[in-house]
Amino acid sequence: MGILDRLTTMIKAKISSFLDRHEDPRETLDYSYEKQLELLTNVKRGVADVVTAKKRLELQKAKLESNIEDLNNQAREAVSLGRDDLARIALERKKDSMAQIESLTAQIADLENEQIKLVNTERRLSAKVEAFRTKKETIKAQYSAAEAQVKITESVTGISEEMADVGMSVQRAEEKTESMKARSQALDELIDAGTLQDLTGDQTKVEEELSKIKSSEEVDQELKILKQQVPVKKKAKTEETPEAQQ
Amino acid sequence: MIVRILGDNQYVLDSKYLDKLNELDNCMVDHLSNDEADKFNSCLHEMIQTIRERGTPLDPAEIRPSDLIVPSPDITPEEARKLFTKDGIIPG
Repeated sequence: MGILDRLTTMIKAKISSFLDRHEDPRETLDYSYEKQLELLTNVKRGVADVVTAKKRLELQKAKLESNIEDLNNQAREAVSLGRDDLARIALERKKDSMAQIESLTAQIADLENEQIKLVNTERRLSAKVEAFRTKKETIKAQYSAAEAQVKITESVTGISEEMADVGMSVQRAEEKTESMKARSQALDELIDAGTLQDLTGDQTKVEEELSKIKSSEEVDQELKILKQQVPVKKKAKTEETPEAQQ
Repeated sequence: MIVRILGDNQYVLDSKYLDKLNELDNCMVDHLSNDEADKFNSCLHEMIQTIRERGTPLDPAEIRPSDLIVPSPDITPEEARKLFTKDGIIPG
């Protein structure tokens, strides 16, 4: 038995068990319609979830991109101060961030795709639900329970198949959103742990060291100016000038 | 006949393509049991493409059951394998 046969049989079996649930086939119509509306709400929620997950990844990406700029500047600064060791750390972090950005870009594209698919699904299901509603009222008004049987079976089977399909799409989207959420959480934790630079967090080691070097340079500079302004007393030697000591 | 591609749409397709679809279906099953994901995917994509190119999408407002249901274009071999287990892939 091939994949198509299996899939078709499986879905049809599920639908016929749904059809057998009610004695009066007209009840099946109402019940099915209720389920359709529920499903439509689920699809809409699915779209919203995908959008939220995508936005979160986009924010993380933007954050990492601005980190890269900072790390570039830090590396340059470190090199100009002769601190190749710090430059290396900054460049390594930059490389990590770039790899993360690449993977985030792929994930965002994936979610974008999922969003488009779900929006299309929603549109199609809406059209079908509306058509079903009209059909349902016509069937209920024009036929007795016995006569309506065939018409009901046909339309409920058709819409149930759509519902099974949409249900699977929503589930797939949910699974994808969940796994992206987990991954983006892991990335947040990575940023918090300091493996990657977090702009809102504490200063990184590179930044700290650079600012230390900078402040000692500034002190040297100030000292130089001070020395020019304050005349050294004739008696005292340079090292003994108290103002000049650090 | 009416063919549904899961997660995509329903298409009206001439029955003369049924042999072609069966052939590609067998191709998928073979590669599934041999663990050849790439070949499995290429058969699947050829199937999807055949339906999309040779068929016409069914009007969304028309409610009709399909004669044949084809997996979603992004189904993985793992998911396809579940079709052959007791639980299947349909939720609920």
